[in-house]
Amino acid sequence: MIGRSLRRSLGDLPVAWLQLKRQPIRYLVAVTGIGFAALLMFMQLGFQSGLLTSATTFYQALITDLVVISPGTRDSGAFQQFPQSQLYQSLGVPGVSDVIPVYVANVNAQQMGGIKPTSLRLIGFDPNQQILDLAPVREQIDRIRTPGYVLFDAAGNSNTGPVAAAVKDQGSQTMILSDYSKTFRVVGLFRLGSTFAADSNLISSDTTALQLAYKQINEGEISMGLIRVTDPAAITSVQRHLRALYGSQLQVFTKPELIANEQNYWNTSSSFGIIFGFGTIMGLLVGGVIVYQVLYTDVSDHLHEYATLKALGFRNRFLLILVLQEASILAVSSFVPALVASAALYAFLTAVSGIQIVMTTDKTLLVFSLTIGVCAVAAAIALNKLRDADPASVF
Amino acid sequence: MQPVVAENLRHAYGEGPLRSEILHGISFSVNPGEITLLVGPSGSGKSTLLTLVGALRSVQEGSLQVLGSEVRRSSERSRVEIRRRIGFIFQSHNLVASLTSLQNVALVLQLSEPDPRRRLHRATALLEAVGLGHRLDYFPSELSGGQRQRVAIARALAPEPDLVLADEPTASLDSSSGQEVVALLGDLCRKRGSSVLLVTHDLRLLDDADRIWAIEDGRVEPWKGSH
Repeated sequence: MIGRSLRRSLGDLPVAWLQLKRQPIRYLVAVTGIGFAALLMFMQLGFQSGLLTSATTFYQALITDLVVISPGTRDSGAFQQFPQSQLYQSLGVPGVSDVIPVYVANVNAQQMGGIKPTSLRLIGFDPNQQILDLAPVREQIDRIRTPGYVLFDAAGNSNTGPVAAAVKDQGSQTMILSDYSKTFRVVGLFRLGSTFAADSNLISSDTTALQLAYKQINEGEISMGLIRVTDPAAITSVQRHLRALYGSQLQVFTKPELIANEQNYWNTSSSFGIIFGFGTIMGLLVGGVIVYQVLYTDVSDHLHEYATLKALGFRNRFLLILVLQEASILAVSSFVPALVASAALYAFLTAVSGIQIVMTTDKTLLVFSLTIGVCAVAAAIALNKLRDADPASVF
Repeated sequence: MQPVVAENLRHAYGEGPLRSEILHGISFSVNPGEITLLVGPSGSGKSTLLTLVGALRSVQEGSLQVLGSEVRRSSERSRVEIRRRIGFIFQSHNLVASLTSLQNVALVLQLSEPDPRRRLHRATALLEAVGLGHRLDYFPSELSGGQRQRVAIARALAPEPDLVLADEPTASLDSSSGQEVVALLGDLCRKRGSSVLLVTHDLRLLDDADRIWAIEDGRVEPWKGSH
């Protein structure tokens, strides 16, 4: 309906495209500028989603119904410990079938003989329990029963050096804490991905975790507690009972709540979310200014022609649609190369950083909508100039 | 019906002490099917009169009937309707630079002919009629001044107007090209019975006219000069 109306207004002659095509350098500059702005938006949104994905990958992989953490824990990069005994209190709540203490700490380590230390998130738990929905961890869980043996995250970033490759090619590798106090042996690999706080992850038994992260965690003080319920339908009521039990001493989340809480922290409380959000807006503004400049100059340059067209009997609507069509052509022809370039950059950054930055339909549609939107707004502002096209000025 | 009838037409620019009257009670007419010349020096009010006859601005005082419609107190919408029945030829042709000769003519036909194929067919025929059948796909910048003005004539005649307004169509042409262009315009208009109001200060065109009006200091009277 709208398409037919547009066609009737402008006829079949693609005047907007012909006008843009007539000045290829200006068109190319405009497409490059708007495309760069779209690329900027893609990058900011990519970083933002990468941050949120990396921050919650660990939580996503947890096999649990409820999670208990200290109120002092703001995000998954810095856990506050709380007494393990508090977790076991929950076993008295009807519907709770099982509780699993988990230690999470950050350690710096390097390969034996290596120079550059890498920051690692160490996740320790009882190897008699399966807490992560990761096939390689399930299959290799017995290997970490031996104290000092760990599994290494091969999806970490490039700062981790050749550890994963060496384990894959030559078998287990020895690493040493960067304060040279303890060594440990990497006996298998899994894939989880790095975070903004850690280059990679280690999975160990609770015993090994207490040995390696002795400066941060103590026996009897855990980072998080996983709680499983007998009836999945009763999760909410068990959570209610646990909240009543713990009051302000501990936070009790369902798994989706824990993920949402983490994302909310990074999006609103941390400076990262604000910076990336601001970057997206900056990209939007840059794109808008470029489109406005291009269209304003274009309308100014064609003002005499537009006045002539008005004199010949064309209505204002024809010219309005013409300018909006130019804006749309600029938006679409800038967006496509920006999308391709962004997808390539995402792949490159994922490979280098270990943070999963993925081109999704959501992101594509969002940036496309923003690009079209900002072009339309810029066109609407530039349309004011059309008022200067006075048909009486042609004589 | 006379395509243009002006009675006691006045027009001024500015307001208050800055008000300056350009047209002082002009009365004149254009007869159907005739080529009428309006001659006068620069600053005589020719362009202002043309913008009024072309329904490009509203009439302030007096009466002006163009193609049977009163322009005074007319709405912008009705002035657009009047303009669609007029063919315009401008001093500097005013073609759309990004469109070829064929596209320039076809564009105007969008206002009257819904079928794109018929538009192209008619635009081609018109350009062939003005001797530019071999320049259909040329942009204005690739044409000579005379050729551009021929495209402008084809564009003006495309909607089969009852009235053609031409403003100094020979101003940017050499003398032979200018006379050729005006002769061509006269031929084509006579063939289809269109009236032409041609504003010029080029006295070599007097031979082509059926009627001549002179405009000076905002007043119009029948031409009394000799040539």
